[in-house]
Amino acid sequence: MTLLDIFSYGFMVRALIAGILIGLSGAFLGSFLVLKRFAMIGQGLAHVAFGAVAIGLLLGDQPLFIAMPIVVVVSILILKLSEKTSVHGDAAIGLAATVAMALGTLLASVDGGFQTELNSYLFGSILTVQQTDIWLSILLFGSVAGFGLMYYYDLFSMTYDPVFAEVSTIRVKRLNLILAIFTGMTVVIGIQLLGTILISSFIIFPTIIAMQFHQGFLKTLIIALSFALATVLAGIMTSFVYDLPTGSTIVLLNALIFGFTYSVKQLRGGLT
Amino acid sequence: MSLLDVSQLSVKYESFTALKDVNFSVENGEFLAVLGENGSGKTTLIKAILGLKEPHSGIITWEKGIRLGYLPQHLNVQDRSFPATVKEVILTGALAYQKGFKRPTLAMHQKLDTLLADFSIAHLKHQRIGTLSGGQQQRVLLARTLMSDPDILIMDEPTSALDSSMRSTFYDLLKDLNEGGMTMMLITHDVGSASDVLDRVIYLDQTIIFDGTFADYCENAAISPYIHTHATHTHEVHK
Ligand SMILES: Nc1ncnc2c1ncn2[C@@H]1O[C@H](COP(=O)(O)OP(=O)(O)OP(=O)(O)O)[C@@H](O)[C@H]1O
Ligand SMILES: [Mg+2]
Repeated sequence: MTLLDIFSYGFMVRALIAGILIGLSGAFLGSFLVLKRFAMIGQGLAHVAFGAVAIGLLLGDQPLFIAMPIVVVVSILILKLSEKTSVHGDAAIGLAATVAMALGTLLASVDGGFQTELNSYLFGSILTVQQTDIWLSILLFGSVAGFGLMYYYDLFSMTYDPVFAEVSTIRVKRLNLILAIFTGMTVVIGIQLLGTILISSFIIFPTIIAMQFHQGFLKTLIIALSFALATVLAGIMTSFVYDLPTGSTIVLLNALIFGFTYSVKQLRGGLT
Repeated sequence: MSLLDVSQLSVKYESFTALKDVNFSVENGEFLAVLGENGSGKTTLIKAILGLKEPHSGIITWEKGIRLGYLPQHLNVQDRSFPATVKEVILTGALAYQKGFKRPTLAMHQKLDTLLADFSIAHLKHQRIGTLSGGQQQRVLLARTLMSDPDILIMDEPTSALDSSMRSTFYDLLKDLNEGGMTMMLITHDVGSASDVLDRVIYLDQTIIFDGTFADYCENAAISPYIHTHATHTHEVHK
């Protein structure tokens, strides 16, 4: 089988399109979240999504449509909690994540009927990407890209120095709110592909890989987007050809690249 | 109408009263210093008038449409690995106020280069900000604030990390800007170097205990021993 055969499979084409669009969205949002020290929100929301999917399964057969608003609302709540100085961001995330996991597990044990199905959302699968997921990914990517182009400089300013941004009349709270909403959407839409366990790698890895290159902000963002694109493409294809789980393949590929760029950086630092 | 009007301002941290019954106005074009001992509430006052700290009571009125420049006492950004160049950081000062679709303009780039030259940091333009020394970073943040042509420049101990030659360059620059119409509000412990440029002094100790001209401040031995020693010191500098 050649690589080109991949494109004759409808589900592969769908997985590639969805993967690329979600990967780019996650990498873009991640650049701001990681640098705001809010990287763990992806992981936290993924756990929340697990609980939300359980509720969704209890209520019908389109769990992601029910999970979406729940995750977005929790994302906003985490943001609001962390804006209060008495609760740190990481603690707020930890709270939401564990409550949701507990709830999901509890629901699944009470109504034993969907335990297996719930577990399938832990890791996701490229086989299950539907046409609806494509539309959702396009919608997500379009909104994130539009938002990014329009507000790039405000986003950068408030990520670098939120106090200065606020004094310079930038609507910091509103931008944070939009970031929180898009992050929630990315997590839920990405579950189909990567599962709740691995989706946060889309948000964290591209940026920390890009940061190893020691560039300015715009270049770092572009490098992050490039690596997101490359690892999604390579990961999905490799997992198909060698029959490996897609999410794990993408994550491990990212880890390899990070390990490589980090070591190169350390070696160079040591030599000069 | 005054540029800024503060009336009966009180600010609390939990139950601790940092400022109480503070009243003053700032007029257009003034060069005002806010002095006071450590912990007297200077930073708190600035945070309150900038809207960064909710007052407990009182009214703060800015002239409509005013553009504020703010230089904080401590760098908000401690992360040395933050991926941003000096150029990117300084440009945000101007871009914040651009209307509609924000993009750096030619005028902004020119202004950027002028400021880099003024602060002798032109060679650092493309360097990552985290790799700069504290004083260099402070110059970058000053340049960022000046990019927006603020109506008033509010500075919290801006010279604390500057070396002495940069300090006098800095005050010369402030003087030029002030003569060009920019109002200045400066917190400092370094009255000596600032003495040439000040019009007015506010001395703070939880509330305003002196508000008058710089000359009166120096003459006034009755206010407090601290001010008096300070004033004597300033006189010595003048001699
Ligand atoms: N975030 C805070 N929480 C609680 N108390 C605070 C906080 N910030 C300041 N304070 C208290 O308020 C008082 C005024 O502090 P402020 O920082 O305004 O002083 P300052 O005049 O700027 O001092 P310095 O010259 O050291 O900069 C101090 O007693 C300080 O302990
Ligand atoms: Mg202070």
